[in-house]
Amino acid sequence: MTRVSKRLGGMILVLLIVSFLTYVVLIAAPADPALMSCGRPCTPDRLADARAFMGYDEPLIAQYVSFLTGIFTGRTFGSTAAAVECAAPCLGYSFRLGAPVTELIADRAPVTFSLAIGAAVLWLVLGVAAGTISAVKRGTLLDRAAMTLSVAAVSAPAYLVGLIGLLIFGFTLDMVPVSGYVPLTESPIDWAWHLILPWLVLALISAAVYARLTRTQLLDVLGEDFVRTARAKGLREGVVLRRHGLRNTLVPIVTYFGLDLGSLLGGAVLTERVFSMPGLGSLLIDAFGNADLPVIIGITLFSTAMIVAANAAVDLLHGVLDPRVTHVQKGIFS
Amino acid sequence: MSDVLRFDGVSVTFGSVRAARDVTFSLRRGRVLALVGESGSGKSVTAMAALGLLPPSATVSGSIRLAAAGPAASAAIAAAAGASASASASASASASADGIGTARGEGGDAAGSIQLASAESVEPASAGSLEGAPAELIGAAPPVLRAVRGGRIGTIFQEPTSAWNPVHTIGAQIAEAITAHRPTPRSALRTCVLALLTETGLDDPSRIARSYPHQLSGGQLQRAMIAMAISCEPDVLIADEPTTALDVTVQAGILALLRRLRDTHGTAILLITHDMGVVADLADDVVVMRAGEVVESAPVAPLFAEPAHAYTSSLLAAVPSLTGPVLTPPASVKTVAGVRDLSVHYGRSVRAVDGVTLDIPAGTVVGLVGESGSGKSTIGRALVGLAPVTSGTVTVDGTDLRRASRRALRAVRSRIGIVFQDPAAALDPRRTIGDSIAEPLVLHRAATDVRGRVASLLDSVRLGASSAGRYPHELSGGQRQRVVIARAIALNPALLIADEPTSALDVSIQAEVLALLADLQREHGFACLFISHDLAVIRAVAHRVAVLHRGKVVEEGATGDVLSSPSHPYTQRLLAAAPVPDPDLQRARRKEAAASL
Repeated sequence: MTRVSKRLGGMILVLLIVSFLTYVVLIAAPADPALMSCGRPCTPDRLADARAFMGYDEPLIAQYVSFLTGIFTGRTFGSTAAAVECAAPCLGYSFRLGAPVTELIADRAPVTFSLAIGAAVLWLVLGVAAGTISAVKRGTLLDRAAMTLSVAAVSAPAYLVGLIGLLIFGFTLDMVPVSGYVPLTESPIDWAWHLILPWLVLALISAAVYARLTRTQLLDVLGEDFVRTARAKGLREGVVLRRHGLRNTLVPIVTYFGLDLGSLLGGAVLTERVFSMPGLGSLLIDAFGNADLPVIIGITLFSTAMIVAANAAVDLLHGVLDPRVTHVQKGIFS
Repeated sequence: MSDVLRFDGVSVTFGSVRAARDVTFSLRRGRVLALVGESGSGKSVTAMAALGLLPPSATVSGSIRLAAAGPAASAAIAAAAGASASASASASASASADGIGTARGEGGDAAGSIQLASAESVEPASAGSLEGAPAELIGAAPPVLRAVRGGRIGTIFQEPTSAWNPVHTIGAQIAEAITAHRPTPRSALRTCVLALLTETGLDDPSRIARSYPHQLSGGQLQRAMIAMAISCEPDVLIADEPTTALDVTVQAGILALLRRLRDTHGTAILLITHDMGVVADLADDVVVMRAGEVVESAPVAPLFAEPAHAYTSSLLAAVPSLTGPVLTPPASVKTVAGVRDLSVHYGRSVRAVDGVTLDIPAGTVVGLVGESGSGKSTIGRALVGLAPVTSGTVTVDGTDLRRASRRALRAVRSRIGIVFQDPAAALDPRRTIGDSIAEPLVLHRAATDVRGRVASLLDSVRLGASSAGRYPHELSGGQRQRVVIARAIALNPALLIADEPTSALDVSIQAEVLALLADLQREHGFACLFISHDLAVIRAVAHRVAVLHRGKVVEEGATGDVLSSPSHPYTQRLLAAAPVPDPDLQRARRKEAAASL
């Protein structure tokens, strides 16, 4: 129990630190959101009004505190008839887009999640399969071909692969749509159809990493004594490979997978851009372009939360996958 | 008597390296054959050739034939071989419905399928005393080999902690060994696993079956490994250094268990070992190998009584003995180093060292003997200030290590030399051995002519000054340990700590290294803490000995007194458990031990 509470405490601490740093850095930056919405001509009076309306007239720490409390209680910007409501959990309000940041994220997250999860499943399957074949057939032409290909894939930039894919399958062959997103709830087939190319582009690059990882790990494990034991008891090679080989490579693979998926859930900036998908990545880029600070802060915090959550999930999985982890925790040294 | 497994002119090559050459011997029912030799003699390689478990780079020639099985076992193999040959899921499914006694009435088929598989590689059997139609194992088809592995030949490996898969329970791994050969329903499987664990002398078998490998001790794991190896009632058991990684008291139990299996099941056991004591204790026949070749094979008694080959004699002579003269402690009153009421606790429950007081007088070798986990290495580390001391004092060369400043600690450390167990890990592979030896000299600015000093150190460990430019991988294990010793004495230490310095070495090399250490000690007169699990080794080098048990010194005194008339029951047990390299004496000791129970 203490382990879980320690873990939770750590997660909250990380989120606090990240939120504080983002807040301080961005608010102290030269871009002034109030300037953007103070209208023309922007007299000092109007600017001051806009500042007060947005809450930027308070001292930095006070601003940060109201940001934090807003997450739990919601906030109201301004006090006149023009006051803007931002319901809890309020991550700020984009005066440029005229919507609470939480709402913006909730709108865009399904796109990013669809993209990230689909691609992750694809690269995991492709990568582990390729790595396993490479390890089993190590030294053969097949192994070398797969590993050469994976170097090429790893070093290829996402936007380049994406653009080439678009050019060939989208424009020339006209097989898949070249942009856009259809919600899953609207039409699952169109959803997948629009996503297939981005999935492949994202998956191809990561699959290469996972193929190499799986290969190295599996080769290590196959050299272990217990694999010899497994063979010496007369198990089939397939069983040896699955139950004794791959089973023991799960921990490092799950670790990588959790972190990769976690960081992707916060927005796949390049891929979303290339395929014009309205995900979190696109939202973030727009926000940067327009100095929309609340949106930048909100998405940064959201991405951090995703990574922290993925980390925690990985830790929990370790306990399930490797009996030594949980037992050490409960054991004589704690 | 009948041959169960016969090796005939077996040669194994890896590329151009010949690991085994023209090896011939046979295993008989109910007898233990010991394959003896030092590292690199090809003993394990020969045994693994029988299982077809050598790496793909190995080329095997000659013949290894396994006698046809008795009716029950052959049926089991037949089922396995048949099912895998046809790769039919339905076959194994129907077999599993059938339960354990699978292939009743399929015996004919079974023999047929083995014949078929082996016919390609072997001419019809005409081999003398082999019963029935023997199966050729070299070049056998994978399904045949799979049926043999675990089914007809069980295997026990050296290192029980790494031979088990860490992520599955012991019970699951044993069950897997059974179902690989005999499709068995779950309920019967459980009963079967528990029965096997009980048979190998494990208390609380259901707990053991539920446990993961890291939760059990080395001895428990090795017993469970034996349970797994005999799960399909094999005719042959290959035990590859089965007790090398275990403490002597645990070893005695495992050897007794193997002896019982031989007597009750009539299992033929191929015992691979380098330990002449183990050979004397368990073997009926002995095959001595050197550099891939058999130099002598004989029944155990004549081999020990009058070895025919010079190599066998030298091997026997190199074994440190528990009889013969011992060193007398020098008359010294001055203490160079010592610990007083030393305790090292980890957390609340682990007491690695628990109130130990030990003095190391000048010019004296103090042997610290104990089993794994007794705290002997922790005491060694405490003397260099590397252990988290809970309470007590540690004094070296007049300095209290726990109160000393950083600077004083550094000065004291320059007065201590350390030799570790594994010389391969103790040397930086990217440095020449000359650089490794020079490092402490340079670090402590201890010599003006570093080159000259390194040369004379290399001379004193009998490696020759010219070897300074060589790298560790160019040296043998024994030579590397000499380098480590040279580095340890480079600063003329007041205290040398040697932590199991010869455990990783072959017995003949061990003898040389021990002699070297003794010579250097006489020459330089340093005090030495010699840590070992091996009483005979301690006896060969130490003036005084302290016996450590569960973090406490149970007995301490002059080596001769402690080892010839031990007063503490634990020391007595330790001495009784260490097998002596003399089959007759060993048999008498076993009887005595049995009688005293």
